[in-house]
Amino acid sequence: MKKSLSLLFLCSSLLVHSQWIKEKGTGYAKLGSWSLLANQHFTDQGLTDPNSTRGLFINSIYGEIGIGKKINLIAYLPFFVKNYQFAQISKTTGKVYEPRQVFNGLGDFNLGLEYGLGQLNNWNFSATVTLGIPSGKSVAGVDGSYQTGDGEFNQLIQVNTGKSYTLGNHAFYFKSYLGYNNRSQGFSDEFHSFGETGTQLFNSKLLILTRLHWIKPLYNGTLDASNANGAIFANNIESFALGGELAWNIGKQWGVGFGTATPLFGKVIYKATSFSGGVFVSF
Amino acid sequence: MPCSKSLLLLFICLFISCNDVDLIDDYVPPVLRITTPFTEITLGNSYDFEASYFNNIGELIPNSQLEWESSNSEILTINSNGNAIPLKAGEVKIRVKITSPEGEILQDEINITIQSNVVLTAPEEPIEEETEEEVEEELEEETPTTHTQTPTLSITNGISQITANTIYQLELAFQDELGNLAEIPNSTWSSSNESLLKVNQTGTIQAIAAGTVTLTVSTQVSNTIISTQNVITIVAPLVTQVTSFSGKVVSKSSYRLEGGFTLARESDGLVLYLDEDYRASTALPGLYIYLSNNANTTAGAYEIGAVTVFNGAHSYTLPNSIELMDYKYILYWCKPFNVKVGEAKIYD
Repeated sequence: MKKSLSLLFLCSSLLVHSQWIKEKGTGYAKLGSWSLLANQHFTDQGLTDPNSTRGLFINSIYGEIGIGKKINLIAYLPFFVKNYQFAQISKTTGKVYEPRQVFNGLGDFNLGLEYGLGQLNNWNFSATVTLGIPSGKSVAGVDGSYQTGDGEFNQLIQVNTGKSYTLGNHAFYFKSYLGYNNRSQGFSDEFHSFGETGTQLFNSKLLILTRLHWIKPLYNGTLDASNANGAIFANNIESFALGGELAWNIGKQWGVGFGTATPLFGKVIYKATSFSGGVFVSF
Repeated sequence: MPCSKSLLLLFICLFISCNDVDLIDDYVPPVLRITTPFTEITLGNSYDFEASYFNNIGELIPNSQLEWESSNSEILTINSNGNAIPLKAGEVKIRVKITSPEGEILQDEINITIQSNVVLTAPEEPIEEETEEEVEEELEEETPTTHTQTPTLSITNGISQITANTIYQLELAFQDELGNLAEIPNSTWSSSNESLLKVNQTGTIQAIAAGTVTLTVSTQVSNTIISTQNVITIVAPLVTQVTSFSGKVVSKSSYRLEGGFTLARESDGLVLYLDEDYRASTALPGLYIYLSNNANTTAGAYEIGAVTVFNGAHSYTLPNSIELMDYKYILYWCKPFNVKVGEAKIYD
């Protein structure tokens, strides 16, 4: 149900890890993994219901590179998505009702361009257009529910802003965006808002940050259980999630990062904490 | 870089090492259930009663060794196969037992009313038929007759109704000219429609099919043929049984699901009707409907199909292989995520 949100959430967390607009020829790349295991979910009423334990594991490459004075090319490539469910076994008899199910495939790729709009009173502004490519499978696995993508082409348009600030003598940064995700194939469009703040410690060896991400569907889609074939798993999802990340610069240009996120509130998404990690390189 | 490779390996191992299971809490008390919901039967026929044993996960265990018994063997007897023969009208309780593999004795019982297979009626008035000679004699003779009675033939246990496929013995009585009961002369029985009711020459009738016939018995006394008739209606065997159950579908989740239902035996099979007040959430993916004997799992359940109607009255026609009491629950289940959305208990 909520896989697409999870994908989106991962994507956003990776996207916003980037700092201001990169100089031409410079960039950032990350080979990462992300995992979520959930035995409950938020219903369409925002309440919590149980479900059979399902997991989603993603290996991905995230990259951004300056391709012009004010333009960055951004790509998120989930090249391996594993959607799985625990075996269902009778507690009374030990009988296997359903063996463990797994579906592996490509996820939905995201390709974007970020354009630097300029600076105003120490605030940096940029705009991003991200295209959600339906490269994943929207109907997959034994019953069609092991999707690796939502099957729709979407366009997320966002305005980003960020600034540096100090608390005491310590420097921090803050960044945020507001976005509108135009979804196709009967999916509801979405309003996105995001905020992140962080700082560097130990001579800039460690980056620590926290973020909030709110996705609000506009409920203007036509897709529901009466007219869809499994794809409603990713429709009308709502999430207000809190996350955090630690990134340790091991070398001059590379390091490792670990992150986590949990939905504080949601609709039609898994209620579980996700964990991520990866190796990044700056160039 | 070796450090980074180790970290990457650790990472991958961490994330792909999940190989666990979900244990489904699927215990239900084992139950023995009489699945032939007879409430009234008639004398003269035998009836096959059936019962099913469901184990502690609601699984039907076929060919179970059942013990049948009647609360009153003078009214009804029942053998080890559940074949019951009613002996006389009355009330009786049929009980079935089984000993589960765990040593637990399970039983179920139903109350049965046994109705008579015939409706008794007053004997028909005898009809006297006269020969032509007698008529001529009466015309010629002007002298008054002596005060003797006309011999009569009557059915002493006549009936107005009998159940098809049953047998009944009619009894005759004969009164001679003096009004005394006398030995019955040779009599002849006949049916107006032998495809509905047959009779032999001892007065034993065999009802075959529904309809109305006139039964005639006659005998000849001297030159007089006397006879009597019994008009009999043959009706189909009376087997009254429960033919439908109704109740409410209720949500067992946070998703909307509600409405009344009726599971009914129709002429063309079993039909599950959902009432006009039925509502189901359209936000839920993969909603399916099942019939089950375990409200906690769809394992062993009959899958009716994917839910395609989310509002208002509709129905599902079930295959003829399913009987009214084969399943105890209607389940609404999110199939992809193995979550119960709602249920209805068909009967207690």
